[in-house]
Amino acid sequence: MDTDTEQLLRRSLTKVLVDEADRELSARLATLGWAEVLDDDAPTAFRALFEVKGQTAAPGDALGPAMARAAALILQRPELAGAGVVLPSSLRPDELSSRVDKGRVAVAGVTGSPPGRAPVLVPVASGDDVAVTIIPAGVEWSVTELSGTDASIGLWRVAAEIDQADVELVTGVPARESWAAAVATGRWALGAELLGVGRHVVATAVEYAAQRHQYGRPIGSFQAVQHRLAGAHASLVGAGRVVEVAANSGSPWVATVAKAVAGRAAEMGCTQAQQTFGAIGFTWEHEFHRYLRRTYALDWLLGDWRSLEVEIGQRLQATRSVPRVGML
Amino acid sequence: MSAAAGYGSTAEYMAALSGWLAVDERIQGYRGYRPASLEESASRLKGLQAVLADEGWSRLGWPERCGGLGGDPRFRGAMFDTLWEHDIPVPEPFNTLEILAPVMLVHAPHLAQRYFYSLLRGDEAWAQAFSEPDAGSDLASLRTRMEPDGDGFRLTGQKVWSSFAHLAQRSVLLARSGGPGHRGLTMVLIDLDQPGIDVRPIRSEDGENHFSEIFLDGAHVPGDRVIGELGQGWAIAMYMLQWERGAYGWLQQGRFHSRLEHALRLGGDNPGSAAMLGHAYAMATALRLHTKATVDRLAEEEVLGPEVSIDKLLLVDAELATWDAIRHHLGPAFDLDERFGWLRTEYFFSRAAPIYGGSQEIQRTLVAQRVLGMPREK
Repeated sequence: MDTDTEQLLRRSLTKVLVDEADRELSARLATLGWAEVLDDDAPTAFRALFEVKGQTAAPGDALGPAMARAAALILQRPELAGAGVVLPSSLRPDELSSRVDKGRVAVAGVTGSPPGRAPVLVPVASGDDVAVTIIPAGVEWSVTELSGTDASIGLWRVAAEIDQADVELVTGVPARESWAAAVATGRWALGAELLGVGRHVVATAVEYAAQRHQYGRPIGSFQAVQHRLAGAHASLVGAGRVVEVAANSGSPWVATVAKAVAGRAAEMGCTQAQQTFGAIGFTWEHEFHRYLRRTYALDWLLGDWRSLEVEIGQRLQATRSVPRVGML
Repeated sequence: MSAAAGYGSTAEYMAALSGWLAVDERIQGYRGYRPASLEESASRLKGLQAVLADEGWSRLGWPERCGGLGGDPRFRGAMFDTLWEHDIPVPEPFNTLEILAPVMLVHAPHLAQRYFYSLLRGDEAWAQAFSEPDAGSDLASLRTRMEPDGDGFRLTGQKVWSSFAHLAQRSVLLARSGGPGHRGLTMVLIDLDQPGIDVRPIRSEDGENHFSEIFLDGAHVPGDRVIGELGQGWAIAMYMLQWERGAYGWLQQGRFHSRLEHALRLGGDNPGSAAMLGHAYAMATALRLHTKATVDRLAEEEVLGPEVSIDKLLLVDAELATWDAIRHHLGPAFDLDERFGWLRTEYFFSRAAPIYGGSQEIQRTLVAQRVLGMPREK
C-alpha cells in the first residue's frame, strides 16, 4: 500500500471508528470494503486500524477478528476470518483456561465481543498440548461484561460447556501453529493500538504545553517539560519500528518484542503526558484518563510488557543466543 | 580484492563474507579478541582493517573515486553486522570513517581521494577535534583561532575530548576563522604530527585513554585542507550529524547484540537478570530497526534533519540497558574477576553514552523544539 493510500485509509478509519460507535465494528468496517483492503495488504491495514483505534480510544472488537484471520490462514479456512476469539482467563496466551476432556469441551475465558452469532475460536488444553476448538453459532454461553479500569474497552468473561461432538476440534501441528500465528498477530496489533494511545497523549500534551502559560511563558518552553515529552516521543518512534517489522514478518518472536516495547512506550507516554497536563489532566472531564485506562487494559491482553520482558530474557538465557531482527 | 566483487544484494554479500570469515586464516586470531588495552586493540586491529580492505570487503559500498568498489552504501553496514555476529570486533576507525568520509566526499572530494584509502586500510587513523574546554555541547562558542599564514593557516587554541587522538595521525578540526557565533567557524584536516601540536591522552574513569587534549600553538594547516569553504564549518558539522547520530547507531547496535550474546554464554540461567536482559534486547532491537531505517534513508541520499536526534536517544537507552543487563547477569564476578577487564572497559564507556556526541539533554531539546515543534525558550 503506498503512503497516500495509507493516509486515506487512516482518515476513513478514524471516521468509521468514531461514528456510530454502538454498531458492531465489523459491520462498520465492511462499509470500507475492509475484506478487500486486507487482501491487498493486511499488515499495513491492520496497523492502521489498531493505531487509529488507539488514537481515538474507540471501542469495538478488532482484536478477535485479527487473531482469527491469522489462524484461519494457517488452517486454510477463510470463512473463519471474521470469527471471535476467546482468550485464556489470565489473558496470557500460554495459560490455557479452557479444556477438552472426556468428550466435553469446557470453555472459560475473555473475549472482545459477546459470542453467539458468529463462530468462535478457542484455544483449549488437550492433555499437555494446545488444541483449537471452533465453536459454531447458536451455543449457549454464560456472559458477564467486564467493567473494570476501562469500562469502555468492551471485554466479556464467557463460559460454556459443550459436547465435543458439537464442535470442531483442531489438534497437533495445525492447532499449535494457528494459535501461535493468532497470538503473534494479536501481540503486534495490540502493540500498534498501544502506540496509537501513546502518540495521542503525547501529541495532546505537546499542544497543551504550547497553550498553557505560567510565569509569562508557555510551559512547553521549559526544558523540564520538553525533555519528558521528547523522551516519550523517541521511545514511541523506536517501538513503532518494531511493530512495523513484526507486522510485516509475522514472526512470533518479533511480535512479542513489539508488544513489550510498545506497552512500555505507551505507559511512559501516559506518565509524561499526565505530568504535563497537571491538575486539569486529573479531572474526570479531561479525556486523558480514558487513554490511561485504555493503556492499562491493553497492556494485560496477551501479556503485559513487564512479563514480556522477563519472558524474552528467559528465552535469551535458555538459547544463549541473541537473534538479530531485520537485515540491511 | 577479488573476494568481494559483484554482490547483487546485502544478503548475498553477508553470506559470502560469513563463509570467508569462517575459513580465512588471517581472520581467526580476531575472533573473540579481548583487548588488554585500547592501545593494544588499536594496533592489533590494524591488521584486520588491512585484510578487509585488501580483500575488498570494506571497499564495497564506498565510491570508486575514493578507492572504494562502488555499490550500495548498505554493504558497509552489512559488513559491521556480519563481523559482530562472528564476535569479531569492528575496528574503532570505522566509526570515524562512517562519520567523516561521507562529509569529505561531498565537501572535500580532493581530500577524500587523497586519504580515504589509507584511512580505510588502517594505514593511518584520524581523530575528530570539535569540543573545547569551554565549548562542549555549545559548539558555537568555540575559540580556537585560525589565521592566514602563507599558503595556509595557523591554528592556536585547545581541543578536548578528542577520541583516540593520541593514536591518530590527522584530525578533522573546527576552528574560528571569522567573527563570533556559528558563521565564523571553518572545518579543516590537520596533521597531528607537527611541532605546533601537543596531544595528551586523558585517562578515563576506567583507566583507559579514550580521549585526548590537543594543544595547538601556531600549528600549520595547508590551504587545500579546508573542508568546504571558509566560514562553512558550522553548516558542515550539522550536515555531519546525520551520520554521527544515524549510521553510528547502526554500527553500535551490532556491538550490543554481540556483547549480550557473549554475556549469555558466560552466565547461567539467572532469574534475577531475566527482566533486564529482556529489556536490553527490546531496546537494542528498537535501536537496530530504527537505525536500519536511517541507514536506508542515507543510502537513498535523503538529507536527514533534526529527527536524527531520535537515533541518538534510542542509542542511549539501548547502550545503558545492555550494559546494566550484562553487569547484573554476570553478577559479582563482573566487578571482581580479573578476566572481565575488557568487558568492564566497555561497560564504563557506556556511561558516557548520554554525554558524548551531543548530550541526552541536547538531543531531547532538539527533538522537543525541532521535531515536536514545542516553543523555544525566550
